[in-house]
Amino acid sequence: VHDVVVPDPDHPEEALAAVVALRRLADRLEAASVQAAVEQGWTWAQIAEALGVTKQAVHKKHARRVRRSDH
Amino acid sequence: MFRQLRRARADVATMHRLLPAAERLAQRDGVDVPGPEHLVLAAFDLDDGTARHALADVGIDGARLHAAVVAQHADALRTVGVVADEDAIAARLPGPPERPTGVHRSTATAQAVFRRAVDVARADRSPLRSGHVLLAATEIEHGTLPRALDHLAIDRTVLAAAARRHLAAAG
Repeated sequence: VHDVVVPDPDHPEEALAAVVALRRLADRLEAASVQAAVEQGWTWAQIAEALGVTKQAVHKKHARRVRRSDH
Repeated sequence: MFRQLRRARADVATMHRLLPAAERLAQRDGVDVPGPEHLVLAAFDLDDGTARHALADVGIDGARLHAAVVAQHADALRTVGVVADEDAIAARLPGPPERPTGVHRSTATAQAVFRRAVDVARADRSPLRSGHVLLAATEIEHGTLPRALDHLAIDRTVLAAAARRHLAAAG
């Protein structure tokens, strides 16, 4: 486990790049986690609630991509 | 006039190849909307080859550029003390959609790059080519793509000159 370090205010280029990288990481974790939730039988309403967004928003963003398991 | 119409039709065809490809590349990375780096990676595969040849002139192929993009994100995360197991995340990502949405979405910077590429092509009285996209992308000074090029020790002015050379050769 790592402590998140506050970016150096003297280097905004680095700080802004860290923000972009964190957003990308969050996007990737969201895509992977939604995939896992759908595979485990979660509904779109449950996933939306957990993410704090509307069901329509989560469906629009992820429904075309996730693979549904056959079981 | 007919030449302009033909060029406009060709540009739309190029746009319909480039933008969905950029979106697929972004989503393969688990990112919702493509940025300039995805536009340039998509430009590699366009048939005209002007971007691919210009990047080859500075020793870059698509795999190396993609690896540099990933590496610069990892570097940026490290500056705030975050280390992510990118391979483990990648293994759990859903694939990109089989069909594009038909609505081309991209970051504001990617949209600006695309508009600039169209403007440069128009000024050259040329159909839009992948080299125009690369040339426009080399004008970005901040963000993921210039940082990835820095990571590869590529001078953006040298890359821009290579793009202009291949565009001129393409006529």
